[in-house]
Amino acid sequence: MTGVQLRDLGIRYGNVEVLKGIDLDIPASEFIVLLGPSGCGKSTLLNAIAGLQDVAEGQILIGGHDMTSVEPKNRGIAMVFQSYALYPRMSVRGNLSFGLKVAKVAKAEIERRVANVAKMLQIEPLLDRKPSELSGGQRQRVAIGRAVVRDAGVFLFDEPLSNLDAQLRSDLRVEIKRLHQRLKSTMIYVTHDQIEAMTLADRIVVMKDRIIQQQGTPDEIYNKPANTFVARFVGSPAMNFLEGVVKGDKAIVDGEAVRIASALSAPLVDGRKVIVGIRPEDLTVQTDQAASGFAAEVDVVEPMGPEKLVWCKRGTIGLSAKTPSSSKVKSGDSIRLGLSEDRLHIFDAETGRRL
Amino acid sequence: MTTANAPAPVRRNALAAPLSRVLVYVLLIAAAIVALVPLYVMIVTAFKSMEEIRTGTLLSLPHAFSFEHWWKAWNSACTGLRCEGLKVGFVNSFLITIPSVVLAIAAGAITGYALSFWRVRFANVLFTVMLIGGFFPYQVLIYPLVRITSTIGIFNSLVGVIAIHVVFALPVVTLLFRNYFASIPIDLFKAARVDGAGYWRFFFSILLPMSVPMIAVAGILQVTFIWNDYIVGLVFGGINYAPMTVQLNNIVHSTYGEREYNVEMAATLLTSVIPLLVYFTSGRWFVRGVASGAVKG
Ligand SMILES: Nc1ncnc2c1ncn2[C@@H]1O[C@H](COP(=O)(O)OP(=O)(O)OP(=O)(O)O)[C@@H](O)[C@H]1O
Ligand SMILES: [Mg+2]
Repeated sequence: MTGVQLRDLGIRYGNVEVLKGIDLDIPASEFIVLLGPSGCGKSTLLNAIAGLQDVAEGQILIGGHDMTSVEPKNRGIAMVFQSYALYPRMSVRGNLSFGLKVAKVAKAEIERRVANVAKMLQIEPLLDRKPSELSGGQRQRVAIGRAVVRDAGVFLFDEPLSNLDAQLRSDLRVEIKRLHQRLKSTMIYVTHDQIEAMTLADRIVVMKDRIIQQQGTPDEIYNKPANTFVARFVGSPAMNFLEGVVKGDKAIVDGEAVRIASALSAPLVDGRKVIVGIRPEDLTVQTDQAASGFAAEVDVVEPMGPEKLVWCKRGTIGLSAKTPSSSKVKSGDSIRLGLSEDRLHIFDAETGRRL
Repeated sequence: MTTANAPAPVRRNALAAPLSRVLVYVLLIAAAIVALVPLYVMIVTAFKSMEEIRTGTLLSLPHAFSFEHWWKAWNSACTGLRCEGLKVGFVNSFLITIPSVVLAIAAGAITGYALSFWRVRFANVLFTVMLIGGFFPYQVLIYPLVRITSTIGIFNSLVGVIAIHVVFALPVVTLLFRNYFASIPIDLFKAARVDGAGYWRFFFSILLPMSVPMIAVAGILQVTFIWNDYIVGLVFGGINYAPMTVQLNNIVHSTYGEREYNVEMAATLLTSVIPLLVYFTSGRWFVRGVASGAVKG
C-alpha cells in the first residue's frame, strides 16, 4: 500500500503563487478530502500529485519514492475528473482498456480486469456503448472504472460528483466509500461540498489562500475548527458569530454576559476582543420569555423535514438556530435563544484563530 | 382536435411579419437569379451547335442537344501545342491535389496539436509568424519561391507544385486545427497522460478520431482551393504538370480561327465538376457534435 507525502510544496502560474508551503502526510489506505472554496488551488494540488502540473518547489513522495519529476503514468496513480473526460470515440470497453493497452498488458489479462471492474461498478451492460450514449451517472461510473482498472495504489478524485444531481450524488458517494473499503487504496478526494467531505473522509484538509488552514478528522474539523474561516466553511447553515469583550470568565456580547471559560484552553485578560461562535444546533429556541438567553425575533422559518431552521434577528445581528420540526414558532414571534456554554467556540477577533 | 390545433402557433408566427418576409424572399430570389444566369448560359451554350450560337439567342434552350463539344473539350481540344484535350490536365490536377491536400492536413493537424496541447517554446511567436505568412498576398512571394525551388531543383516538377501548395495551405489549416483542439477539454489530455499515452498515442488514438469533422472541413476547403488554383500550377508545374485550370485557360485563349464557344463552355464546366461534386456530397460531414457526450452533460 502506498502513502503520499508532500514536502513544502509550492506551485506557481507564471509569477502568481497558487500554493505555498504545503506539507501533508497521507498514510497508506487513508481517505483524505481536500476541502476549500473555488479557486483555492485544490485541483492544482491534485494535478501536481498526478504529475500533470509542474512544481516550483518542494517534493512529492509516493510510496516513499521521490516522484516530483516522474511521468504521470509511472507514479502509480489513477485519476477521476469532474468532467469525466472519457475518450469520446471509444466504447466503454475501449475507455477502460486504453491505459492497459498502452502499458502493453496481455490481452487476456486486460479482458479479465475490465470484466472485474465492470462487474464491481455494475456497468457490464454498457461495455459496448459510446460515452455519448450514457447518462451522467453512468459516465462517472465508467470514469471511476477507468481509474480502478489501473490497479493503482493512489486514487485522485477531482470533484467527481459535482456534475450530478442530488440523488445520484449521494448514491455514488456511498459507492465510492464502498470502493475504498474494498480496494483499501489511498484516496485523495477534492471537493468544495462539505457534506461529501464529512461523509467520506478519514481526514479532511481545509485549504484557502494558498495554504492549508486545518487538517483533522471530520469530527475535529467540525467540533474544533482552528479559525473562523474553517468554522464558517464547514457546517450548514454556517456557525453564528458574535463579537464580544472578555470580562472575567465571561464575554460581554451585545450587552449580555456569556460564560466562555469552559470553551477556552487558557483564561484571557479582561478587555480582549473575541468572536464567540455557536452552531445553529447549539442554540435552543425558547418561546418562554422568562427563560435565560438572548432575546430575538423570528424572521423566517424554514422547515427542513426532520427539523426547522429558524432565522432570527436581534437588532442588526442575524442568528440561525435549529429546532425540532414539532416546534410551533413562526415569523414575528419574540423568542429567547439559549446557548449551550460548553458548545461555544472562541476566536481571536483580530487573527480569527481559535483560543 | 388537439392534433389539428397543434401547428397553429407556428403558423401564426410565420405570418407575424409578412412584409419583411416577402422582402427577404424577393431579395434572395433576385440574388439567386443573378448567380444562376451565367451558369445557365454556360450549360445551354455547351450543348448548342455553333450555327445556333451564331444566331445570338443567348438564353434559349438548344434545339438539338449535342455532346460532341464535350468530347472535344475532354479529348482533342488544343491546349497550346498539344491537342489532347483537358484529360491531361484532369489527371495532373489529381496528381497535384491529392498529395497536397493530404500532406497539408497532416502537417496542419500536427502543428495545430503541438501548438494547442503541448507547451512548445515560443509557440505564440511561431504561430503569429505563421499567420502573417498566411495573410501575405502570395503573388508577392512567387519570385522568391521560384528562386528557392529552382535552387533546390524542384522547379517545374510535380514535387515543386505540391510543396508550394502545402506551404501556402499550412497557416490556415494549422489555424483551423489549433482552434478546434483548443475547444477540446484539457481534462481529456490529462486523462490520457495518466493512462500513459504520449505525444503520438494521444494524437492518433484519441484526437484524430475526434477530428473527423475538422479533417473534412479542411479537406473540402483545400480540395477546392488547390483544384481551382491557377497561378501556382502555371508557374511551378511547367508544361508537364499544368493543372486543368491552366489547360482550360489555354483552350479559351487559343486565338486562331473562330472561337468555339460551345467547346469552351463545356471545358469550363468539366473543370468545375470536381469542386461541385465535393460541395454537393460533403454536406453531411459538416455535422457537428462528434465530441458531445464525452465531456460533461
Ligand atoms: N493555467 C492557469 N494559469 C494561471 N492561473 C491559473 C491557472 N489555472 C488555475 N489558475 C489559478 O490558480 C488558482 C487555483 O486554481 P484551481 O483550479 O486549483 O482551483 P480549485 O480549488 O480547484 O477551484 P474549483 O473548486 O473552482 O475547481 C485559481 O486562483 C486560478 O485562478
Ligand atoms: Mg478544481
